[in-house]
Amino acid sequence: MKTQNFSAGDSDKQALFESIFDTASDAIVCVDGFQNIAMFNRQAEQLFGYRAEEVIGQPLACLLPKHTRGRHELHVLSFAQEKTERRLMGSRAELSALRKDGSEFPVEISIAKVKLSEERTLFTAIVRDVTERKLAEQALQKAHEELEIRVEQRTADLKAANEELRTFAYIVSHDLRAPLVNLKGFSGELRFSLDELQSLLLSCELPEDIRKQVVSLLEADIPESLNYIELAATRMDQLINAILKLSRLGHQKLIIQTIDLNKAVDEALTALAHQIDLGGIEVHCETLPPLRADLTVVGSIIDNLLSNAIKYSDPARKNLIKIYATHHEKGTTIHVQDQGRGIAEDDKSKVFQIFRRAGTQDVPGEGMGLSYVQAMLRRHGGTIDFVSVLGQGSTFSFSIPDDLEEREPR
Amino acid sequence: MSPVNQTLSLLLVEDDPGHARLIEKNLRRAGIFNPIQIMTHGQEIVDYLQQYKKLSHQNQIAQPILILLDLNLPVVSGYQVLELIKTDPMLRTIPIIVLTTTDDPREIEKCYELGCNVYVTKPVDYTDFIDAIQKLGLFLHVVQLPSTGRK
Repeated sequence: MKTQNFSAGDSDKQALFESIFDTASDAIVCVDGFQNIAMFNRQAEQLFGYRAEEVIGQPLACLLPKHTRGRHELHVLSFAQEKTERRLMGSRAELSALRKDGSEFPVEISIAKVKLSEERTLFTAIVRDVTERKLAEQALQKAHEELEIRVEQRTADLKAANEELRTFAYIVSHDLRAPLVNLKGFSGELRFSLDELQSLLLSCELPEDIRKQVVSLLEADIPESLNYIELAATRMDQLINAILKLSRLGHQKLIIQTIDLNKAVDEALTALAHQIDLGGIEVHCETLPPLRADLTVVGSIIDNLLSNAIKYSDPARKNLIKIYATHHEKGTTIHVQDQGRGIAEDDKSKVFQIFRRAGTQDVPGEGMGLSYVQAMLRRHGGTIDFVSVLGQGSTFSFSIPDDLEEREPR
Repeated sequence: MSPVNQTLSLLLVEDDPGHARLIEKNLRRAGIFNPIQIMTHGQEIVDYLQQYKKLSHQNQIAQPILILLDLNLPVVSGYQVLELIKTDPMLRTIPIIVLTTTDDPREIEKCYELGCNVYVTKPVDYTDFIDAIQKLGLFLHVVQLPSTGRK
């Protein structure tokens, strides 16, 4: 400590010192070389519950809980031998002090030694009650632990709910299939019976007007009804298969490897070549970077996005589909940009919903693709997003994180 | 085509009467004229097999049987029936053809693990369904069956 040179007398210095000593906001206790209390400020009186005159001359031990006394003496002895002049105690280790009423409280103490002469050393201890801080720390620690438990609980709940949903989808789809076998089967049987009936009736001699009616029934009305039944069953079967496909997603193991995106895109384009020709669509693909991901999943995503871009092209104009990639700190994003019909503002929220299909319903499809894509990406730790302007086109962009090998498949 | 062993009885364990009827019709179309006994739940076949074992015990000749088994059965499931038969030394040689709507690879694997002899999926599409049952019929014409019912 540096002190300014006061031009004041010794009595002034003494008054100044006493004022500082007593108004300090921390408790200050001075101990002589024999571990007896030499000075005790006002804060110390408040903190320990003793008046100064009660403790001055008493051993320091009266301010320490019995179980820490030995330890404390060792501290002081080692500190007395050290060359360092000050030391903070209790900042890490648990240190406690004893009040007059016998209660203990946690403290943090910074001690300093002052060598008055060869034989006399005075120790100054600034004592701070850290009860509140310790309580706050404990509360924080407890809150942390509780939070962790809650997160674990929630995660377990979510996992269970997810599994339940998957099982539900799985069971429902299988149970729904069984009646379809009957619908289709007995429609087929009716067709067989119809054929037999037809040959039987037509070999009979019938009056012309009745014959006409019979032919109309056998060749138009009944087959029409059967057609509708079969179509509905087929459609239902497609929907069920789509749900099944989604429910099975969670069970497939992902194989993360470095894949050639260009090859994946080429394969998708080859498979879609017919539709591309038919729609007079031009496809422009930039050279894409290698990607660490599951090949089947990425191939299927590219397939879905490209076939959507083709399906929803605008027949009224020339369509260009662009495929390109961007790289950013979190991973790689692949964009499929089209100049198709685009998605109306109101329909944007439905894009990833299962079985929802936005806009004019003139293209066959089960409305399954994008919800499937999103579910696949989610398992991959990836995301999908899009921007779209009605009448101008859409860009669908999916991102795959770079650190996939460290990720547990979900 | 040589007729299938005339004494062979087909046990069709199927809870959906529509399915049972369609299977029967198409087996007949495929030239299978053996008796077909339809059971609508798992317990029925379990009881039947107890009786079957008793006959074998008394050294009476029980009719050879082949089981066509659906998986989604009430009371006792197809898996349980499969396990019960394949872990019983007296019954394990009875051929079991699982005939079900499930085409999940894991379910198929599970059935073979439990000892099913053939797994056939019932397609929803009726043309495919007829095709599957006809092929099953052809298979029944050529398959060699173990001599059962004798000790």
